[in-house]
Amino acid sequence: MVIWLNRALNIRHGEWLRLLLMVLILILTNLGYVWGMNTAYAAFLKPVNAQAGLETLIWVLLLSSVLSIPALGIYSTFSNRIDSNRLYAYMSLGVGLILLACLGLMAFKQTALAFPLLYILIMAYFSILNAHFFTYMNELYDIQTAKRILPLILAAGRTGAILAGFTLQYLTAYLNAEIIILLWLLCDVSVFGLILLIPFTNKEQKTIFGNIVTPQTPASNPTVSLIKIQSLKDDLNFTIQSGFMRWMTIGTLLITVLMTVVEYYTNLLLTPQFNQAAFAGFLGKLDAISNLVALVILLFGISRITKAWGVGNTSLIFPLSTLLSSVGLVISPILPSLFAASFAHINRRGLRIGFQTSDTLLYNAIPFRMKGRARAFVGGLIVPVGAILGVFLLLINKWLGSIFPILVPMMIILLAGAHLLSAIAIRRQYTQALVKMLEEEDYSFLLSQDASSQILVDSTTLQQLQKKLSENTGHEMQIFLTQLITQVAGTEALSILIPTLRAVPEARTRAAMLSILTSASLHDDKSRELYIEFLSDADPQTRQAAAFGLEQLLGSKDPWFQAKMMEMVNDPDDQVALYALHSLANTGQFYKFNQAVQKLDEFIQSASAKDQKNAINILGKIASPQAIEELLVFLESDNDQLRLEAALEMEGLTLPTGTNLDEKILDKIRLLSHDPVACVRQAVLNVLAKFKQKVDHPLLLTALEDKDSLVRTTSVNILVGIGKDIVPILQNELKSSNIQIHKMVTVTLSRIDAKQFGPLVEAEVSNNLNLVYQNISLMQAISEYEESPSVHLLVAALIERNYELVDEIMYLLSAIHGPEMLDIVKESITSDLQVTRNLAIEVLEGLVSPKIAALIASLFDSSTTPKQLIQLGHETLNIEQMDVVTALEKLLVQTEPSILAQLAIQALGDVGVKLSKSEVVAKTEPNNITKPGVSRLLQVLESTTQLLNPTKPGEPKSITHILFQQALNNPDPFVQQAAQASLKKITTGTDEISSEADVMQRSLTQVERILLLKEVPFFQNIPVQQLEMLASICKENRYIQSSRIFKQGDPGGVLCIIIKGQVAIEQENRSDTTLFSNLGNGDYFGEMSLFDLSPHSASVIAMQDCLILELNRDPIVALTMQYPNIALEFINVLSRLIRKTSDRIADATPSRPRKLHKLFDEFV
Amino acid sequence: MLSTIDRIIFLKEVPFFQTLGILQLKELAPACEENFFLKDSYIFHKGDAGGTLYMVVNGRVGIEYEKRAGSFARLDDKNSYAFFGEANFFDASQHTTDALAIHDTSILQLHREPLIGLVRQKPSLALELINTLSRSLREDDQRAAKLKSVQPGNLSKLFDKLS
Repeated sequence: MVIWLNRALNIRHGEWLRLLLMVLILILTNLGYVWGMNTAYAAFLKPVNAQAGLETLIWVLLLSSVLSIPALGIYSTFSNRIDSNRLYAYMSLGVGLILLACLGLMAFKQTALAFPLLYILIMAYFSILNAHFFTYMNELYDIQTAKRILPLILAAGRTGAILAGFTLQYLTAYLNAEIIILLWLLCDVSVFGLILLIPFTNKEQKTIFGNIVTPQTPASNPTVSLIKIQSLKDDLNFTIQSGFMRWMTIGTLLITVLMTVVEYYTNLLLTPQFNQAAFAGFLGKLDAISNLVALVILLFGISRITKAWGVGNTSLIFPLSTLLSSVGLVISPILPSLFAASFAHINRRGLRIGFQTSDTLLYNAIPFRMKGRARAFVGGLIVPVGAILGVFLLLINKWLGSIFPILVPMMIILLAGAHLLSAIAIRRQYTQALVKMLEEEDYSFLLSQDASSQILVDSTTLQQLQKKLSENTGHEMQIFLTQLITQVAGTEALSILIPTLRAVPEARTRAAMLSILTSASLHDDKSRELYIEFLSDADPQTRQAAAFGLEQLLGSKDPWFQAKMMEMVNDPDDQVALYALHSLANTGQFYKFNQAVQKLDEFIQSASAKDQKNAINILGKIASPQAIEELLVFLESDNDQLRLEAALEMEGLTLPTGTNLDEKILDKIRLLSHDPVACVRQAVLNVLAKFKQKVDHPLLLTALEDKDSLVRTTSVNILVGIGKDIVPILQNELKSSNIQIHKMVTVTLSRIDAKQFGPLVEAEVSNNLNLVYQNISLMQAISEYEESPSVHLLVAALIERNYELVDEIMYLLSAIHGPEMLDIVKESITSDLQVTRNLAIEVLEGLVSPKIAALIASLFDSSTTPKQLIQLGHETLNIEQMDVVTALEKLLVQTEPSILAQLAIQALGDVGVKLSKSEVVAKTEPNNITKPGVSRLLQVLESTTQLLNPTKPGEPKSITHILFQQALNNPDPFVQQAAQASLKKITTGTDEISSEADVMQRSLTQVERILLLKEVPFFQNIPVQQLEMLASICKENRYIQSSRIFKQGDPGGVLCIIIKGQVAIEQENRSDTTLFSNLGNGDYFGEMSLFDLSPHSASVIAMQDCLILELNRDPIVALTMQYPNIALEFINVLSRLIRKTSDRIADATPSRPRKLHKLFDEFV
Repeated sequence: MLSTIDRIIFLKEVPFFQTLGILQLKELAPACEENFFLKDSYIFHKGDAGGTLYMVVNGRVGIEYEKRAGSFARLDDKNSYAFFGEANFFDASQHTTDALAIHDTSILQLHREPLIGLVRQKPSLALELINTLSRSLREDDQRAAKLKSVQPGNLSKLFDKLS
């Protein structure tokens, strides 16, 4: 039943509750309004003590329209400040207060005052409530949802009014006016309650930070501009300039004047025929009929009429009916006056509302930027002015009516005629204005974000769009127009697009247009035929798009569709065949389709990894035991990519299957727990987690020390999911000496039970802080030698390491206090604003002990100098200040990350060589030794020579000796290599790689590569960790003299750094060769065509034997995709290079006086 | 005044944005500013802050460098659909040249913030911009090289041997 209703009313699951509330609110509001207002109206028009109430009507009309202007002003000052739901609630409360006040007056027998007052106040009040309702709807529903739901809600409102209208006569028969007003109050109070419930129906917007208040743009609220004189002036100017707007204004003015007069005249005819109670009942009935008419027009009529006749013609219907009813009113002696008055009333209250939509559509011909303001101008200023003018006419009639009794009837006829004429003028202007706008190609009005105006387009606009579409041949523009048409034309879109689609020459455009049709869910027989037709298109993309459309239309279970897909499995294009396989896999009975199974086997057996990868994805989708068996085979593949895909598909399956396959899966998956690809390891953990077997707990525990942080966190999450059962095992692991394990176990334990294990986290945090502060001391100790590139890099690496450690601290803390809180702290503590930072520190102090909070806070305080930090570290953490040798010594024993040890030993070599050169100076002038630790470093140098000549047994070993010995025996091969290179450097005394004698024979160490990369501007600000990655994939190539490194026109995409040698960059023309430049040691080239793979613009020739470090484009591109900041860094470097080149151009361009330039420009 | 659609279409034709999709351009188009410069008026001076990309809608702009007082080197001419200011766009560094309207010129200009915002959302966009800048760099570099005095390759080899 619910599903049926969902489908019939086009409501999504989860929208029901709110919709129900809104419908109730609207019904209750209208129920109260129609009951109460008609009662009040009748009460003052037909007072019990039989005085003529018609005179009151004139003043009531005047006052209510005058009041509505300041009311809108007051509303607009509040609308931007108060959350719109709360404002809506306040407004319904306001209605209640007005009602209470009037009930109070009635209690004191002041009915003559109470009813007109009630009527005036409520009229003014509802004019703003109406405006606010649409603003409110805009915020409650996005535009797409509003299109579906708004008509339903509005229809509910009308239904409420109809209900009230037909019941009012029974109410008046038994109850007196005061009680009916009391009923209204009751309705209003329930509305108030319901409005308060609305925010609870929205699950998405509720976060722990309370409701997110969406900022309201002034443009979406047409009433805002009302109080600003300047904007009023602008609006007036626009109105005067635009012929169309001029007529719209005149038309609106005429109809408001007319309606005011007609209201008076109708009542003049009606009041003599009823007593008060019967009059109220009759008015209610009229209202009900009016609303019924409006509802029918809105739901069924208007869109059909507009489509058939066009907006222009539709806009004439109401003026015509108005003229008819006006004539009816005037000739009332001939026509029964009750009938004439009723018709006028229904016309005024029903048809007018029903045809308002066509008015809304007319505003489409006003440029988008002016539309909101134009409506505000007309609604806010012209309508009240019109009403006031109407009242003046009535007053004139009152004074002169006895002399010219024919005055008012004449007025009515004249006004109605003029209104019809203005409507005809508007109709003519509308087409012109619209065509003009379309010529300017300003389609933005069609993409209006205003939910309150229904997007409906008449046939003129559609024709224009269709014309544009057939005239345009550009791919982008055609796609754009197709999207537009599907958005605005509804079901009509198909008949417009299909002919164009068949005529489109370009295949990719055709495919894209088909996809747009499919995603717009425009389904009928025509689209089905279209898809079937394109299923045999020459272009594979189009075939695929057509197949997708059919699947959406028919569903994958449709037998005809399945048969078609069986055929398509053998499509010559692989993509199409794959698509067919995918949709057959969706059916759940894949192995029934023999041809498909054959084709899938072909893909599985294929030699191309890409085909196999596609096969794996399809197997994952099929997910039957047979498919899983096939997947398991791929888990053993040597190809990283295929293994990863298979593992990811396994991760996506519903496991365990409950068959004997499970054991097999577990066996295979467990084998992959040490896979080299991190994502595979992560998938393995997730699969194991699904099986929940105790045997796998040790595997999960070892994953805690995985080198990839993603795998580690996955493991933590799984272990936390297991809960209390795992606690004893984890506690056992706490004894582990491995720092990483210790940290991760602590996080897991405290996430399982924050109370019991929280203190453990604090210990880990202070461990990390200890490391951070120690690193700061290390940096300070070595910073004296920072001019040496390796020391510079070492400092950079230490800074990065500290960032990591601080991140870890945050992660540890998030285990107890929740990630949301720590995310906020992390973001705020690095804020540029002092106030925000202070707040973050305040929060931090609530989370950890004051000592630790102070230590963390100082790290982020930019006013704290490194000296102060070291002092703080010394005082609170007892970290000793050290000299450079101790610092290097400490770094050399660092195992994690090994790059620190590599850099340290490299730095020792570099600094050593430098000092050995100044040694002579230093020894002759001892006062020159100003740098700390120089004397100790000199000892280092002397003792390194001993290292090469084996020390005699028994001789005490120097500290440096031990340092190098340690480094040479380091388990990490990179550290060993660095140590060897560094040692050689010191003994030979060469500080540049290129000046080494055997550089052409040996390969570079990791650190040397990083240092070389760092020299290239592109990599100057790239983190050491990423440089390490790039360094590991660089290639060293040797070129002999006169050989060509690359030729002009060869594809680019490689960056070359000259380690040693000299090259010439030349450009070859037909006749001769131009030398651009010579490059030597440490220079680089290829950067110009590195990124975009464009061909090399020049040839590069080795002038000597060359050793060149080459780096390919792909890993660099992968880096930019992963870290947008690196991409922005590259962009900045390129900008700098462009500036430099521009300087070169400026240097080489001759300069001339301004006059000469001018003369020149005259001719060009 | 260009409408939003006009702007989108115009941006699409400017080489700097050629690789951007309709969705991205739709976001950038409203952020652009349209300005009109009379003949002989300066669009920016050397030393002005950058951070804005300028695109010529119609008219003509000269990129100049004042070498001596009153003597200008004309580095480049920019006609319709050409862009300039890209070298100082992303890092908002100071302009190193003057830009002068040679004829009456209407310019569409874009500040860097919306574009950088887009880059952070979509890293592949960064790569496209890197490509655009690379192309710009390569063209400038070739122009710079051509302006330098021409030396036949064989001669240069001789020079190398002698030196």
